[in-house]
Amino acid sequence: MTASEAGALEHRIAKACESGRVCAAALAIHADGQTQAFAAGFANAREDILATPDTLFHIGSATKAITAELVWRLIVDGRLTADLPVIEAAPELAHIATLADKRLTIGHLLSHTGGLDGDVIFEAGRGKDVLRRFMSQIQEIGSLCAPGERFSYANVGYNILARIVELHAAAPFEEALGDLLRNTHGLSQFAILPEEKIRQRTALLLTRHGQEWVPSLFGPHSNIGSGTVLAMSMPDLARWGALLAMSGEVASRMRQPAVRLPFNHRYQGWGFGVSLLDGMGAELFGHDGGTAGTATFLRIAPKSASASAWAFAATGPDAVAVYRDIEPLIRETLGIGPAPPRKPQGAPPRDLTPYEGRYERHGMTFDIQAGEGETLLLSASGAMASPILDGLHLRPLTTEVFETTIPALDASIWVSFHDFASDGKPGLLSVLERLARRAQADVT
Amino acid sequence: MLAPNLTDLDARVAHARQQAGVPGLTFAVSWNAGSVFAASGVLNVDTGVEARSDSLFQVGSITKSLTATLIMQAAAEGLLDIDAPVSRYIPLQLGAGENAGPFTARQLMAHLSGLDGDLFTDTGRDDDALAKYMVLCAQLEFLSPPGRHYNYCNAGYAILGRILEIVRGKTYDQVLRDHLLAPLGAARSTTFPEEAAFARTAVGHVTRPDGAPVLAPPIMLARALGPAGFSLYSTVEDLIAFARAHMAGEDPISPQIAAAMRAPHAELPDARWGLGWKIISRGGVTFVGHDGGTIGQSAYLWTVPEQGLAIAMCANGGRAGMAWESLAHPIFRDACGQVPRPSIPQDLSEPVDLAAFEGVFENLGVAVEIRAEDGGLKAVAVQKAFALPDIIFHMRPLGGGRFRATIGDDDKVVTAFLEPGPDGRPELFYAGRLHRRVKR
Repeated sequence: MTASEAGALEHRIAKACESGRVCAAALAIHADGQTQAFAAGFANAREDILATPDTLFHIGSATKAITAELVWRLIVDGRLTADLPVIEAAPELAHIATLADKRLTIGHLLSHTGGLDGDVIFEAGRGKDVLRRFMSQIQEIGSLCAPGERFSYANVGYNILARIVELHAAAPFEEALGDLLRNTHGLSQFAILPEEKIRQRTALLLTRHGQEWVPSLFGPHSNIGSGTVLAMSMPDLARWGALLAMSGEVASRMRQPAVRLPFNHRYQGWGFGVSLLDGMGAELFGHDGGTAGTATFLRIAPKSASASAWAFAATGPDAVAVYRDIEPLIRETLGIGPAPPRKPQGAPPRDLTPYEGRYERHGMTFDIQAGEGETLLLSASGAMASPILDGLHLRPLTTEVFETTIPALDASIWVSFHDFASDGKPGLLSVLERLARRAQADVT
Repeated sequence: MLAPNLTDLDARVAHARQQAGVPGLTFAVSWNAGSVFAASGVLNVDTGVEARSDSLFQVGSITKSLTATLIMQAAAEGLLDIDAPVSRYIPLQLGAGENAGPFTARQLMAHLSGLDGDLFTDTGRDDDALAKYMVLCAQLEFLSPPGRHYNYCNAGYAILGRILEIVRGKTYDQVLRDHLLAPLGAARSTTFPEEAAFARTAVGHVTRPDGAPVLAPPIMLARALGPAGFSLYSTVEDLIAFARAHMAGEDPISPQIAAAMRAPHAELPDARWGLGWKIISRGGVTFVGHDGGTIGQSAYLWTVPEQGLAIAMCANGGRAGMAWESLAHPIFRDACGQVPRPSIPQDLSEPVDLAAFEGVFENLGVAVEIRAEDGGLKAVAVQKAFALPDIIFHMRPLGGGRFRATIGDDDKVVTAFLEPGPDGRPELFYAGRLHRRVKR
């Protein structure tokens, strides 16, 4: 990276913080064995504590890639196999029918293809046996489709994987995770328990209420495997990405394509622990993370001799948009071409009537009816439904793919329909990588 | 009283901090008419985040004064009788051994239960941590029969915390918040690190051989010992609010509770103990207070109730005791002519049969080996509970089974040998705790 490239990136981050789009932002780029890092804004705006390049951010679901590494290390060591039924790896789950299904494997959980319904996140305590307790309290986990049929992002699957790691590594997950990062990878800028977060500069999870930044509480410890707990500096996250890329079998199996996602606006596909970007992951893979108030992006380019990687995190509602703005510059800096354009193949449907109706998943109901012009109107309700998904207008691009703008995020996303019956009615709706099934009463 | 002379307090605090090699320090003085606060240095030498007077520090055993206050509030509401056997509230056999007997909440508050109390087993971070710890307390040995000897007892304060959970029907942390921290307006204080992480919060430091402070190793924060001082993060501002309410007998601390807690209950060789408070009387002045320490952090809260004077200090490493004396003692001396330092008699000149005191003495926390040497006693205290270096010190006889020891730079203690044990040889009282003779 030249000095002017570094200066340009630093400037963009500083400007985003000054303009108030985000509270804190940090970027680290690891290339040719060197890590460069930039930061701006406030790690803690209420307490006037500035963000520094080594500030820890709650990396959210980017944790899943590290959880997956722990699973793959057990597989490579011969202590598990990817096609082992989940119920054999964790017999204590026998009380939950969906998880006791022998067709459901560890590989399905890694690739979000288990068809699991119910992204339960709750506080089951703070102790070392929190995952065992969590597992005893998730009876509501249901099934959206048979294991292996379709992609549907499932946080709970990664918490089950964390429990499997615990059972087969014979250590509480929080210790296995810390041991991997500290002792195997030699990293130090991370924190798992809150008392460890106090020892370093840790960016708070903030949400904006009017002009005020209000801290959100930490995510529950019980969902540690899916990403509610781990905080990490961007230099260490980028270094972890590069170390993973050079780890041989673990990385090659993690980024091996499990599923193609032609109907997704963000990802070309999904591997066994990471999302696949350029070249179906052969050129670029990674993981995004979002917790209350923080967005994280990890990108790993495995091709260069020493693997390059970058990590970006920011606190505040515009975090995703700020990343979108600087990603082209990062790619240019590293000599990685622009993100391949996403364009669905096919023509829009002539008749929108078959799409109407009710689609459901655990805690969420989506009602679709005719909207203005050639659009559909999506209403979201239910205890687990995000209010930002309510009242979206869906514009058809193809039979499967509709485009919509989420005003709260100022972002355009795709939603998709699948499993069309002979009368043209879709059986499944996919919103933000998660499936919902057409309500039974709605099936004719 | 008149306002104390606090000219240049900020400069005095900065100077005292630097002299004592303390990375970060907060200091507060309060008298009838008002309070002043000061801060100097950094909370964490790695991050360089600066200390402010509202920064959180681990205040350690000062928490015991808060726990005792909560017990007295519950008693005033009729929820418990501090003179009833604890078994009325906790239906477990707590403590064992030949000295076992019923003991009361009052005895626990005054460290008079006789229980060997440095049991630092971590029973987890969950809401049931205290309940689980009580099961372990079944095995604690009584070093003396309840009520007979003062013996500083951490486990006893965990038992008090568990009594609060049972009579209030909520966790100790919630009782502390609802009945003391919230009514005092001590909004920053918390027992949860996930809340402390949102504030400016100090990290403890230890001193490297070359004199540089480095972050203390991560320490065990056993939630079960929260009521004894393992959990609470607080500020000098919040400590002063607590002290002021005590001195004034103001909500949420009634005058009756305040008076009962500073009434002497236990005699030490160099001080007395009330309910959750240490009492030092010097030249007609009565000081009431408590010190606190975790590995790498120290806190002090001392009052002169008759004068409405309170001083608090928090420090995160270095020679904190030296900083405390250089800052607080001149203010106390100005106000009342005395300082809260135990009075130590002069060395005795006539000969003493030192051989009678030799032996190995033990409790859960330390093993102390004592040998006669150079007209005094040499002691080597091996820390059993924590990976800390041995403490080696010499004791000079004061007469009456008492000895004077100087430990470290600034810590003068009186060590005593108590009545003979079963074998007719005296038992050791050191660092506020009883020790059984285990070897001749």
